[in-house]
Amino acid sequence: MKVYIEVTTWFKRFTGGNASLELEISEGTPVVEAVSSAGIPKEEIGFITVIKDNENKIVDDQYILTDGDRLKVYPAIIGG
Amino acid sequence: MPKVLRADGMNKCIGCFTCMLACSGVNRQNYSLSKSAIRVKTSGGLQGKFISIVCLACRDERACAEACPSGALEKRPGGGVIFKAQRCIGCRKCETACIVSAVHYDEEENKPIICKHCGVCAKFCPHECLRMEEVDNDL
Amino acid sequence: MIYEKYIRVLYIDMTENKIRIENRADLCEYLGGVGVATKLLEENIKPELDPLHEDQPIIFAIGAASTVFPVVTKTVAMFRSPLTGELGESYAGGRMAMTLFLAGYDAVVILGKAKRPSYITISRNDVGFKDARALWGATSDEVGRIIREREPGGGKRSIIRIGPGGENMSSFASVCVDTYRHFGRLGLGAVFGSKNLKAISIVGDRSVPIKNFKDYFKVYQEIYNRVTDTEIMSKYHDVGTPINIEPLNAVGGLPTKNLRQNVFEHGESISGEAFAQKNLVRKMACTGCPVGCIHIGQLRREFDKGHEYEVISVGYDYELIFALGSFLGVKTPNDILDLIDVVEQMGLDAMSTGVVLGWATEAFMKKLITEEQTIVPLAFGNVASYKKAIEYMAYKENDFYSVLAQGADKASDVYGGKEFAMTLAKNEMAGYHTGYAAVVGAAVGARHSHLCNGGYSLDQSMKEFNKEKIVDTLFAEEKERCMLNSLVICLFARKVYDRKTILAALNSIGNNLTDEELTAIGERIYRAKLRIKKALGFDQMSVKLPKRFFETPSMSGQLDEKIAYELIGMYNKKIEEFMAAENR
Repeated sequence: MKVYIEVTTWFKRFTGGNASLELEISEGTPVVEAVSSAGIPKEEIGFITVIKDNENKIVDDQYILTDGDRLKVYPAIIGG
Repeated sequence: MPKVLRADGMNKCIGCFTCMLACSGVNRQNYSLSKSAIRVKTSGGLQGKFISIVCLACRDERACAEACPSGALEKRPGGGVIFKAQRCIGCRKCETACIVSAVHYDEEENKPIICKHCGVCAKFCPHECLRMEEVDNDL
Repeated sequence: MIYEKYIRVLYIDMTENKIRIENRADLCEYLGGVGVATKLLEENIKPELDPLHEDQPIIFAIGAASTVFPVVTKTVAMFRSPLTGELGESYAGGRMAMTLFLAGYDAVVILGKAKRPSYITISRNDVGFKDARALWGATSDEVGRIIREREPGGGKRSIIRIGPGGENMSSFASVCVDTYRHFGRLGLGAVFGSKNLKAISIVGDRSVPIKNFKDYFKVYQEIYNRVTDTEIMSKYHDVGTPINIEPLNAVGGLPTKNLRQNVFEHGESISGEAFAQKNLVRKMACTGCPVGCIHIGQLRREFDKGHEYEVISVGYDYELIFALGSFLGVKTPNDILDLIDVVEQMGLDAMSTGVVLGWATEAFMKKLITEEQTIVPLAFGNVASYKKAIEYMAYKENDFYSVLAQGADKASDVYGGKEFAMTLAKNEMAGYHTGYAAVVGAAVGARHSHLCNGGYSLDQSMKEFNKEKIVDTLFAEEKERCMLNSLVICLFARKVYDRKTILAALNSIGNNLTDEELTAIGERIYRAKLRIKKALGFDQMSVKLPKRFFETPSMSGQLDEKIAYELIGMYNKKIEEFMAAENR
């Protein structure tokens, strides 16, 4: 099945400069694995949201993807 | 081939002073800014540019060596000079002879601070302001 | 003092123009930095006197490894806060720690009050008391420029100074350090003003011979390589902390328009990327930090018709973009830089300024205050009015602005609107509406800052809500940060400075501490802070949380007031046990 990932500018360094990616994954893949298979190191991931019913919802690392899911990946919050 | 220090990326300088701390540490075993052979400073406060004052590795006749009355500065292959401390009498003529003011002076030791072009500052520059360049042996 | 078994304290008496130096062996058990400063504050604070009384002390301290290792760059200041009336603690980078280290002082205690506006010069062999009458009224930039030209030591010098906000004793006036860094929070600038102290210039030109160079340099190189070669610090240099705008806005954690909203509709236009593309012109570093996180944005400002422009360079960071951007509904990088510059020139804390103006804007909208009081109409996004209002606060233009200059808590005491005065224990909130740990963390933190225990960070990493875990983690982090701040590392590098690294660094400079001793030092410092807070009359259980925190959803969803108070109660019990354990 196919999912669509959009990343913020910071992550483009890991995705060969691409802001959006299409990913072919097998059923039952947790979202964090899919994102990391796109080249983004797990420790860099802050939040992943899935667009559902026109709303951007934060999902857990272990959220199981369904065909056609649209994801957006954000960096972790930094500071002192 | 001999190498010399080139400080030609100073527009990129972030003013961390790691080069100075590393030079004083490695070459003089001191925590210090004063003992460093490279000096980084601002021109016109922190809103101005960072500039570096360091030996430019003169070739041919080196003004500092010319000015030295006691033979303490010998030509270094590729550029610059080698400091022979035991021959130095602390007259400070080298300091005034250098028109880019790159001969600093160690008041505690009463000796000039002469850049060896060892590359420690370049190694600890995080922003590629400093680099080592291979040059022909001019001697 | 490095390699010595004492802490070298410089005492400056501004009333008598006298100094004294003490080598205090007894302070070594506090390691340095915030530990030493806390102990010196405890010894010198006068709980019975007003925070701005001349007999109150200002303490500065550097740490056990300041400047000699990468990113160990901060100086801590402690004082009685005019904003909260209790523990004042603030940190600044720049060159100050290096200059104190190379001038030969671990700590400075300033007492008394000069007869006339003055500045102090500190060097390894002298302390000078200088006339600053002509500088009184000068902005932070101007006073820096004048002292830079008058005093020796360029390149090995740090100049710290106040602007009009500090002179007029606004409760959240800041002290500017070397143009782009600040003791921002809790009003140190006002304490300077109360002493007629306009500036301090410190020259560090000593050289300290390194012992066991090989051991030391091995550890130095390991840390340097981790800081520069790994991804761990690269975000701080690249986009910098403004990278936070995008994720926080996406997940509903960006305080917007006085926290009436948790998402800013113009978030994208004020993101770190937007600043980087439109305004970023250079990056700078504190002395001894190869990261260089200081982001300088350029603003071209038209000051007259006929294409008359001035160009100004302004430092920006996440917290400033939040406080003077989303929190006030200001939607472009240029406008935010414009406001930062005014705050900078007036010498106020940018975070408190934004949050106070957020309250004032809503109070104005709700007609709790009138235009007669505010002089200019306040509205979210109205940059021209905000620029004026910031100056009015710094100069205490009228009765209303005199009250506003004492913070949002005080202003809401006088004019109402407590439920939307976004303070935690009287300190204006930080830019994270991330969940319970952020709210409770600042309410229970020793100085009520998001940096006391990093609650916002805990909200982000916590997978499942668990009350005990929140309380335990905040408590552990508070103690750990007491230890880290005794070094004094920049907290941005806290992932580099794990316990193993700290011990290796300290051991290589002859400070043979153990892991257990580091824990004990952290606890000793925290206990001393809690003793000071108690002496100053702070009661954890009387802290009231503004309702707004529970009306506007956070990143972790809607928060329940009852749970927040319950967590504070649990934390309070924990510190009571912690203090009782010492007495047993």
